[in-house]
Amino acid sequence: MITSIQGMRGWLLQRLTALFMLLYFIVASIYFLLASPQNYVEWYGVFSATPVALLTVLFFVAVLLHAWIGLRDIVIDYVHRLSLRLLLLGLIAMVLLGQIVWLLLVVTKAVL
Amino acid sequence: MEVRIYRYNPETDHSPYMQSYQVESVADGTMLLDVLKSIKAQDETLSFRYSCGEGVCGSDAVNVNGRNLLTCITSVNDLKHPIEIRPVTGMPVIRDLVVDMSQFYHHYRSVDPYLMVHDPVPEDEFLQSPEQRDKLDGLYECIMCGCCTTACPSFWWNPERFRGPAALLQAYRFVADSRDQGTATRLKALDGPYRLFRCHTIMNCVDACPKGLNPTHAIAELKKKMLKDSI
Repeated sequence: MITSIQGMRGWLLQRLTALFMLLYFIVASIYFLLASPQNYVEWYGVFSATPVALLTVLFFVAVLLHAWIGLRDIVIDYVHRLSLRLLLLGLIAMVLLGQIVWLLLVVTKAVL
Repeated sequence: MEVRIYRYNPETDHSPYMQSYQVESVADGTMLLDVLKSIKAQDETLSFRYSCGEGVCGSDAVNVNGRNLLTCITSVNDLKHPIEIRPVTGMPVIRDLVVDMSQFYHHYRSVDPYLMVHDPVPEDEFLQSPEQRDKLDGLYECIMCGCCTTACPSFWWNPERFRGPAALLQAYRFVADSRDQGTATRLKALDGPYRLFRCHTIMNCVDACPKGLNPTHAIAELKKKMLKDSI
């Protein structure tokens, strides 16, 4: 993960994920403004639809990748001691992966 | 007029300090370089670089009141007083306002700042259309003063590995040149996390360039070219 998305690929991926997040945000905002689900059951209904669940997972994968590239850039810029850099990158990766696992658990529970 | 100057002689000083000088009867519109010369007449231990005195050679870049500029083309009228002069940031100080530019030149050399031609060289001359020549405007005028690179935070954090705006402007100057055939080699050499992609579009380089050039635009063009060529 560290070596495969750097340089041009990392830069491009950061922009593509930003674009996807923006589109998701716009579409979701419009939907919730128009449909405005009133209670938990309605909210549950929206997110248990497979396309919405899939797009939501993709959205959070985009957040994960975007955050990883951005945070890694900050660490590369400011943290020069190798041991500290590896520690920080490890912690960031753990937190981000933990969040994606949590999200997958929530979404699969909603869909199944 | 009060001028405060960064002083440091590694042979005699334990640490750098600021020294204050009073300069009398400075005429309106006097350039800062002339003020520095008159201070040098008062105190010959003061060291600074200069050569052409008209913004062409790029020797006299310093940091004045927090901004990088060339002393020879900066009028004292345009500066806040007292004037504070320091060496440009992010390079080792040799003495007073003189810095070691080795790292800067290393990055410049590493982008191969010359035409790469694989085909047989024409007998008499390379031909370029006026449109092709126009693409070099805003790129070839760099005087290598280092104002941009030493104003760049990305260069401050990774001076050994990030090429810096001046070298990247030169890299694009040859990528944009219709006569050059080394684009693929140049772009390949710039990929990776450090050499080009440490630039986060902070744009201090654009703000600092005394020739009004735009290294950020050149860097963006390099990225665009790299993207197009990789698809």
